Amino acid sequence: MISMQDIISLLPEIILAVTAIIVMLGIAVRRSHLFSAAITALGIVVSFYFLINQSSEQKIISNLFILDGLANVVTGIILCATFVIVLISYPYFRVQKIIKEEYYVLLLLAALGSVCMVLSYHFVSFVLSLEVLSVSLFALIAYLKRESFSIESGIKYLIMAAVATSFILFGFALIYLATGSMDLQSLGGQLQPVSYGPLLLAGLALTTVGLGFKMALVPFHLWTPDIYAGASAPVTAFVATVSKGAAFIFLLRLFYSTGGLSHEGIWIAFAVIATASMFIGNWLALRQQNLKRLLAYSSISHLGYLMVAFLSASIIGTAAGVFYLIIYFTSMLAAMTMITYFSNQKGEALMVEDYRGLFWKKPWLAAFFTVVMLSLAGVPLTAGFMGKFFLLSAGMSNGGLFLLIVLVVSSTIGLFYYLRVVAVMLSHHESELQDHIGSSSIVLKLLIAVLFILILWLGVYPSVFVEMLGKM
Amino acid sequence: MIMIALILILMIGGILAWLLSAVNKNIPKWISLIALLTDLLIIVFFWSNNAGNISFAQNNRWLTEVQYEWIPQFGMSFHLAMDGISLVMTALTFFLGIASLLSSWKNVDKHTGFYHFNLLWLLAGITGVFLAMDLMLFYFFWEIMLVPMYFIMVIWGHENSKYAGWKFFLFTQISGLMMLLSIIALFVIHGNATQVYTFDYMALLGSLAGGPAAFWIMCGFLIAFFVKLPSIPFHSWLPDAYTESPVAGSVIVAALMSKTAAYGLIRFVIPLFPEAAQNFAIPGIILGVASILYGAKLSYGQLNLKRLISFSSVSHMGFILVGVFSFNTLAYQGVLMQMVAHGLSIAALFIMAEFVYDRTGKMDVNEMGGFWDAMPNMGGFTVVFIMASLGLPGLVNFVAEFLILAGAWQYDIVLAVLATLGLIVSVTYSMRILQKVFHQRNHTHSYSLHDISVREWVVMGSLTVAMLWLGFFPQSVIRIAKPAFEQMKMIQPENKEATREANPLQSSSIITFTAKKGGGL
Repeated sequence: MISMQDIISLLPEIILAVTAIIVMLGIAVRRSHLFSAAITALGIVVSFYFLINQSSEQKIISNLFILDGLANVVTGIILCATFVIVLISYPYFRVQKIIKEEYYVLLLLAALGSVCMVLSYHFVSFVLSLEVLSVSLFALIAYLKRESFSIESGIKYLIMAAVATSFILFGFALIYLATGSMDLQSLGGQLQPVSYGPLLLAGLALTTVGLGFKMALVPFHLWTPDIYAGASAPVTAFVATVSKGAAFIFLLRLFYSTGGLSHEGIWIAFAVIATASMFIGNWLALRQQNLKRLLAYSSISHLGYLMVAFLSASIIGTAAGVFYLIIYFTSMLAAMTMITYFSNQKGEALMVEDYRGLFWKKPWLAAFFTVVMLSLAGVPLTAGFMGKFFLLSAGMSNGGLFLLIVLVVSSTIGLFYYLRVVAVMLSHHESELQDHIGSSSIVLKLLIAVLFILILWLGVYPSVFVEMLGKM
Repeated sequence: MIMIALILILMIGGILAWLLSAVNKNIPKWISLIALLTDLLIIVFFWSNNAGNISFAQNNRWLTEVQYEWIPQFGMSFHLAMDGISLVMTALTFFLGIASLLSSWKNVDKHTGFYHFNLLWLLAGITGVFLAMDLMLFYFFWEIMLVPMYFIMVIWGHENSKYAGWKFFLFTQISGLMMLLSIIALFVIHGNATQVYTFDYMALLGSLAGGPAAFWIMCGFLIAFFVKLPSIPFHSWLPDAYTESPVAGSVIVAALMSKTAAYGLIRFVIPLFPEAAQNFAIPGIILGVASILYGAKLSYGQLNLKRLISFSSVSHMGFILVGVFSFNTLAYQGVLMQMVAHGLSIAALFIMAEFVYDRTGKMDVNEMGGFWDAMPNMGGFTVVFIMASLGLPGLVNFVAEFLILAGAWQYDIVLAVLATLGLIVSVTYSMRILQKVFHQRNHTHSYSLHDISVREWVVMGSLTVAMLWLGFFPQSVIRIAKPAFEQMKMIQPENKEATREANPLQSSSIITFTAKKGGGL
């Protein structure tokens, strides 16, 4: 039975759901873009407030949800990321001539689905949360419906997500058939890696395919660039960060609680996926001229790096993974904020060429964007380096030297295209800057300043964040 | 505190230069000059204070030291320390920093603020490398050098600078990441063995003397240092980077950045992995000799003046490899002298090349010739620089190369003789500069040349004075660094004993056996 205590523990999620309803009812009374955005932001802040008062003791609620340090930290990260996305959505949609208010309902529901995925400790709760997330995302991706490619990418995502969900469902069914249980706790109790039968392995493999799709790991990555390029920048930010992070955490829970990674075949399969993601992601990004497609491939390789932490199968691996999530979220959100900054009602500054000579017109923005690119590339003094350092330490403590060398080599390949963006900004032939929403938005300017400081802070003095992970 | 001040002055100066460039585009260079002069004065003052009372006591290893917590969870600390070697290298950094600044005083006229920001941060990174005593801090400074150097190369470089910048960044980045892997491996192995997880230099000393792990970890460090030095076969980024950079970039990357690698070899590779390094000695010396001879050959074949000078650098850095892997105090003192000597002479030659380029707009030596008539003063200075580069006695390079060869002789006679050939071949390419640029008549082009200005006179004159002073009185540098080298010598035998104890098959079983017997008696 659910007690009052359990409900209090789940308050952050409940508040998210309630906020979605309030925004929806608000729309029924009177349409106001500012009101919807403000209520959404407020709801996330209140939810965050209740979250930081949670204890980090492990607690399982009616077999469906688990509350522990990991869940708290990742929920916090997701809430912060969603908050940033709300902040960039408001100026972005303000200039669009469309109905804007429902966007925030969908965004809140998607965030709710992601948060519940992080808490899921049972197949049923996971599938439900996944569907809450996916269904909101179809609509979000196709939200700018006068753009034909926006609709196209929405449909693309719909089909791919449906396929992925059916893979996951079938996988879960096979696992249930093999073991007779659906919650991770009892699965972890009865599984021994030596006793993995073909049925169970097939089930885990199918589940991995579905999760791999959500996380855009190679070879399940083909949808990524199209959807990144087709969706509006704030939605791209959400797809790139929150939905991937939530899927990663469930993957972590599934394989850590069942001890699946100590099965050699499974480990090797994931190592191959990780290697392929790192190399192919970086490789395909090399010749991209479209900044969002470039970031899509970059995010594929980043999820590959993240798998190195996952594969170290240890507590330090979890910490490194979560730390890398923080860093990846920050850098990716910063990049999307930058794209939003230079968009206007006609479209976004999608191409790398649009930023030519930016250093000489807007030195501070260009410096910020340079730092973001270097952070994604993992150059010291920026957040990305600290993340890579933590990953390498986690991998090294497990002794998987091969993956670490792959990480190093592929991230050097990655440097090529990050540097190309920087070099374009540095070149002397300036392109005409069209008027952009950033010039009249204080929120965006403040946000860029905050992210700028955060990236440098994480890169130079991350003690505070590491300490937070230590308590996890 | 003095060390933090040295780095902070440069960093704050850089930010100020960028911010104030909006007011007037001539302000940044004055800020740079003031910042560098302040640092130089501080270090000279510090040197003269400490020159008298260098203690030879074993427990007082550093002249000055600071340590603060940085990221305690990972065992990283903000640990800076200075001994004789660091002192000499930081002094060289500021001296050459000023020389490079003055030599490009008038060349840079676009985006001056950002230029001086990069210049000062680059020098701050180099200074940090010479002072950091925490391996992660060292790696941080090592990488801080990269980005500003890339910017300087790409924005203010010559025609092909974008390509050169990429090549430079990629070579140094991937080799740097290999070193990072090694640093982390060392951290993990040391932590697993002792339960103390730390990146501190002093704690890691002697934690891993020999064995296959030590060998591979050392290789990570070696790759990073060999690329930056550069030694063959890792030198292919060098001619592009040196040639396409603006003059300050060339001077700093050739004279200072390559020294960070040499410094890394004697500060980290030899003390951290004494046994593994011993095993690598012969390949190391062979690489050094090959660099000396091959670099000289490549240099002789170049028509582009800056490329010619660049390849001569490969040749001179070969001497450093020979010295480092000769394992005796004489050679190490030679290495230190060579770092200073090569820093001065290569900077001088690049500055000369830039002054010629300023006047003619040409880099091809076949289009030059007969400049002595128009520019006798510059010709005179160039003679000194050329003589220094080819190792004429009385100039600092001779001292350095002599010490290295004397040290190498004690280690391996054949290789030492081969390395000595380097002194002969260096004459060929060095004299070629003098002949092609200043003497040989060239009737196809005529230039209107003016002799060097007061500013250029100051730059070339101070370099000449430094070369002559250190050529006649090398003891002033050797003496201040001597305690540091004695410390290094002390570390090696200790470690050998430590590994022998750790290896039960070799000796400890015998020791316990005799100990038991003794107990019984």
